[in-house]
Amino acid sequence: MFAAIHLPCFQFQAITLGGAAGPAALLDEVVTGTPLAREQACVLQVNAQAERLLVHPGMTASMARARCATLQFLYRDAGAELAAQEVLLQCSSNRTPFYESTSPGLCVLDLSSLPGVKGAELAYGRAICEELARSKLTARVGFARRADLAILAAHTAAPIRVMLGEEVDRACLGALPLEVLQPAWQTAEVFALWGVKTVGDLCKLPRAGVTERLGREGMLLWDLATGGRDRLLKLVRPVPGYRVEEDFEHSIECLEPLLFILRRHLQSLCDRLGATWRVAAAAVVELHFEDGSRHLRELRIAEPTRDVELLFRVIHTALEGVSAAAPIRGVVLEFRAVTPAGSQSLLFERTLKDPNRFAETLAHLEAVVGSGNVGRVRLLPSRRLDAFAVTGFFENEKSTVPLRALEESTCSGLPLRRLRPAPVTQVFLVDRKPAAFRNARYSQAVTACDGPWLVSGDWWDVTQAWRREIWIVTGEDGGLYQLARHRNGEWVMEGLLG
Amino acid sequence: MNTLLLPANVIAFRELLQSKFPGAHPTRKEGEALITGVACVDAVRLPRGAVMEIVGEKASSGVGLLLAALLQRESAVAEYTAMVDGCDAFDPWSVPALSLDRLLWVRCQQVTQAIKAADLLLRDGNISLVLLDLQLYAARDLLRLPSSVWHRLRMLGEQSGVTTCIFTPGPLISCAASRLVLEPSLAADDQYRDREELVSALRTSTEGARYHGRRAG
Repeated sequence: MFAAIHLPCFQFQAITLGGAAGPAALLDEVVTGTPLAREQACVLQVNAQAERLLVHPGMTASMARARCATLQFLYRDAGAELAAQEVLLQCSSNRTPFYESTSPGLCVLDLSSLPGVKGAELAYGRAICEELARSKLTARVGFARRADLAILAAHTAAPIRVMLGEEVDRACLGALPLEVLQPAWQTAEVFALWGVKTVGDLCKLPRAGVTERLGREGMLLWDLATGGRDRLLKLVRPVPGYRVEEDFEHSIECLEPLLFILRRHLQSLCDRLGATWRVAAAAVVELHFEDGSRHLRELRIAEPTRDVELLFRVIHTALEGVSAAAPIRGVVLEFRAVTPAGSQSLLFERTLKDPNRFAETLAHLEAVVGSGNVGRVRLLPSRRLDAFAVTGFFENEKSTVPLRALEESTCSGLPLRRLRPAPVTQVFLVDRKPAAFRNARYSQAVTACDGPWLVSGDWWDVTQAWRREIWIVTGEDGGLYQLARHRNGEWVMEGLLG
Repeated sequence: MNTLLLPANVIAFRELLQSKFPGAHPTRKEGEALITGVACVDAVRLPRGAVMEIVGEKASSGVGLLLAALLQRESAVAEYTAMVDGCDAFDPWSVPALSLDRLLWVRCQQVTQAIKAADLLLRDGNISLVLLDLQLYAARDLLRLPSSVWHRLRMLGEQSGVTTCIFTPGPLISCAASRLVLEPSLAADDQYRDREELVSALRTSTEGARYHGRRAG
């Protein structure tokens, strides 16, 4: 069982939404055209009052005006047509998830899986018409066993037609104009030459003859005219979007109004997430400023959720530290949606009581100590000093260091406490060994020294090559210091041991 | 959370889990001590949520060793450790790579940053042990801080149950529950010795709790 919803005079309805007073005609011409072009513009559709005054589609504007001096001309509006089609699609999606957007003003619904429709088609059709009437759209609904036959039934409906006994009802289709089959204009011209004006005329022609002369299109049109074949619908699968964009009428200069707007959008996005049983794993906030610059921030949600308050707190924390040279002109908010985890990951591993709160604390910490200074340490496969990277705490990447390097790093001996940056140090040598050293903070005579150890790396790259000569020295205060001489002969104190 | 507010079946289920997996459900009790696996720290029997001051007055007195040992601590349920690195002095290559997976490293450049970071972590309460390393600062700089700073950290720790070990260049935290003073005992030859052996050989002296505050449950 299929149902077709047809909005007659779709372009006209989209513009007027039932509100045109007096005779009116729709022209397929822009208002800014020359006066001559406007006079010769073709009338596409007319309302009932204009039709009573013998104004017909196909006339030029001047001819139509000659028939009716008070005729009101309207012009097609792509935005209004799109909005009307959206209403139609929304109405269809409210009925069934299996529907086709066949053409502007026409949708076909597959009702075969819906219980309670068979035998109650009239009530079902009336409900559809009433729903569209609330949006000021007039609809016709046709029911049939095949999709294409349902479309033809919708064209002849007043406003509902149920075609179940096909042979009986087919006679009423014969009066339909051939345009309902939407032939190509070349084919339509051929039919006009043949004198074929209605669906009934086409049905009277032999199928083989039409196919022989008009090819595949002719055959398809003949099949459509005689009730169509079983075919699959090109289903509309709306991509669920979790993104909102807003350009502000007046620019925003402080955080509070921005948060107010974001809070409103958050609620709507979380509702969308809830409707699809999903949760947000990350939020992307993009601010557009008046000077053309942008601020983009991706916020990872430690424990994916669709809790509005929690997400609002995360975004609030992230935006607190933002400063800009220009007011905010617009904002984009987008969620990365994931399916919620069905179970706790590991019984003995999860030790964070509230991961989302912790993520918020990490954002605060980052604001205090600077970006890139909070997180986990990942060792890098190099012997260069400070060969590591600080990554986000919730990034579960494994260390990039090979296993062998990890084994080597199961340390023995004394840990190094680094001085960053390593202060340049004046070292006094005796017999090529450090005997004393001095820098801004430490000044010591050396009582014992150990070394040198030579380490180098990236020797194959002239620009990146490095080499150090390391000495462990004992100061007169008993402290153990690590000194290093670079390839340019400069000494630095890398840190203290112990 | 007040267990009286929980449904009876939830309480029963918790008790069942605790009886089946006692190691995985350590319940925090009044006066329960933090177990780190580091002998000199465990000997103090530091209660959870308390502040401990670890003093290294001389260079190379073992502060780095103790820090590394605390980072490698093991517990029944794998717990994270946060290190607020007041002077950005931590060298990740000085500790085993595997212990880095359970470390949150906060690199600071100023004392005020370090105090704020510790404050945030103690308020959060998700990480059970916070190591605040201020040892490379001059004692006179830390003495300029108002003592209320340490009192606030202590109170936050008590409320959230987060234990704090503060490494300082001299004894200056009067409200610490315990103070461990590291005495210089390391020599150049120690860089070839085993890490565990070095930690157990650290010479320390302990001062008892000066402040007996209210212990949060």
